[in-house]
Amino acid sequence: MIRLEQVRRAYAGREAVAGVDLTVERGAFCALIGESGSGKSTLLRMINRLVEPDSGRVLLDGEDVRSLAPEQLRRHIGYVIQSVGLFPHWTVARNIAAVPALLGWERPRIEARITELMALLRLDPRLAKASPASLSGGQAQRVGVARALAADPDLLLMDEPFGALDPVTRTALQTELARIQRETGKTIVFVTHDMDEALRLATQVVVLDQGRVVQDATPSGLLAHPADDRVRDLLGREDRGLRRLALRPVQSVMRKPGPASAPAIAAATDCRAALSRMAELGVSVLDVQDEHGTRLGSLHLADLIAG
Amino acid sequence: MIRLLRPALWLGLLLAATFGMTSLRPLFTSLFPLLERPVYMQDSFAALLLAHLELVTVASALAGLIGIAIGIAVTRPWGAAYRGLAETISAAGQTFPPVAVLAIAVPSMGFGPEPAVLALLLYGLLPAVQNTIAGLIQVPDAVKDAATGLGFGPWRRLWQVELPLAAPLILTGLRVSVIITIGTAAIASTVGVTTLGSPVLLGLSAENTAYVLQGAVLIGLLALTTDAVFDAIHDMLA
Repeated sequence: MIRLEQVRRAYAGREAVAGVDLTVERGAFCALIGESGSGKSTLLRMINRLVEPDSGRVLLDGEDVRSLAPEQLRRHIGYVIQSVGLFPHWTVARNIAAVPALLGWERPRIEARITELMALLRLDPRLAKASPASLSGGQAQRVGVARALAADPDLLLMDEPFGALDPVTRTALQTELARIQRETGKTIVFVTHDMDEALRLATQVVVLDQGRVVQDATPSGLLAHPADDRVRDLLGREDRGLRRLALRPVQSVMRKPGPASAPAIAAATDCRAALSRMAELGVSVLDVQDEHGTRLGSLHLADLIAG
Repeated sequence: MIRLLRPALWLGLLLAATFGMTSLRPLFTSLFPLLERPVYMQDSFAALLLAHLELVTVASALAGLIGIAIGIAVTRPWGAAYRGLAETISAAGQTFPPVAVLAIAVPSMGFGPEPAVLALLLYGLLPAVQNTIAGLIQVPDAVKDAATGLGFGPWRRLWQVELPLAAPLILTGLRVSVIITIGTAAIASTVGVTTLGSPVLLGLSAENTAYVLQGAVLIGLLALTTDAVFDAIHDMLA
């Protein structure tokens, strides 16, 4: 889907991107992670030509992006930024309709798409006529994501989309994004400096440092075999074990149902939350149940740690 | 409707003063008993008002168009290098007294409306340039980045996003420009253009205070009416 070949870009003599090769497969959820100044945003903005590389090539489905007019290219790539950038003089509905309007869609088709996207992003339909100034931060970014998805692009670029939100709203939007990606199968390239966010959402984590790729791996691969100390630092040395647990659902390590007296835990929980629950209750066995209260199995502390 | 009330009131007052000035002869006679001719009669006040409006409209429209064009140009990536220069030149245009511009321009352009339009245009340029720049640079970077990233071309982004967001400030600049032009246009009468300044200038040279008062009152009312009209437009935009 996306191939970056030896791309470089310097600003005032300093290389922001210093020779990066990267492949992102169709349907992948790729997180670009690194400290400020690691070149992750510059790399992202090369994909839709907001930044032109000094050398190297960017290919989309085998086609060099430079062979396409920038406006045409961008209308077929969703784009979401941290500060959202809704057009303050337009209603929510008109903001969402921005790209379909550029593409010259018919009015009824645009109206139908607005309704569909507001439902997908769980936005109250009454907000359609609202002004962006009246929205909360979370609502505004939902509109931002809806606007990016409006023309149904195959690829979505997101530059720290949830970085400015409070933790509760951020978690809610991460969950929505994971659901939307599951439902639509979009390819997403996502810039973040939040390792928990990267591990939680991505299928491919690309760690950048000083404009170079340090490691390109799956979340579990990254946790199991961090390439060097910089990756270990980003993963948080003390938290690595817990982060690995967070990637695993409890169902993958549970045994047959045991004694009914153990405290219950939902089947959708991850192993880190389960461990926390054990520590909180002072027990070493939990009873795994689905949403109807059916007992699915039992979870043992020894299995959690051994897994 | 309420927002049109204020401009309508001022306009009513301006028209009443324009058409009723000659009927106020007894008032001016009692105010200035020593004057032989207490009311300006060379032209009708309606003709003076129309001529004044025409000069102001041409000069302000040119100042506005050129000012907005300069403001747009120096806020584009290709024109950014000239921003300082444009601001300096338009500021110099306003520091330079319009009377001096007339004095310099008349020998080459001759008497008549051309040097007057030039002097007024230079004088009114600064607010239009400055406010267009101020309006365009206060558009948030995030909004511009989003517009570009979604596939707006540079001109479409300017027209659909930047100019609407800059409109209130640009309008304020035009308002200042037009109002100072209304006041300054009076000096055009020194180069033979008929304006509401004609009774003022004649009154000053002939020591006829009544003429000065008549011209000045109408210029003041015209400025207040125009200001109220801009206010109403501003309210409609908001």
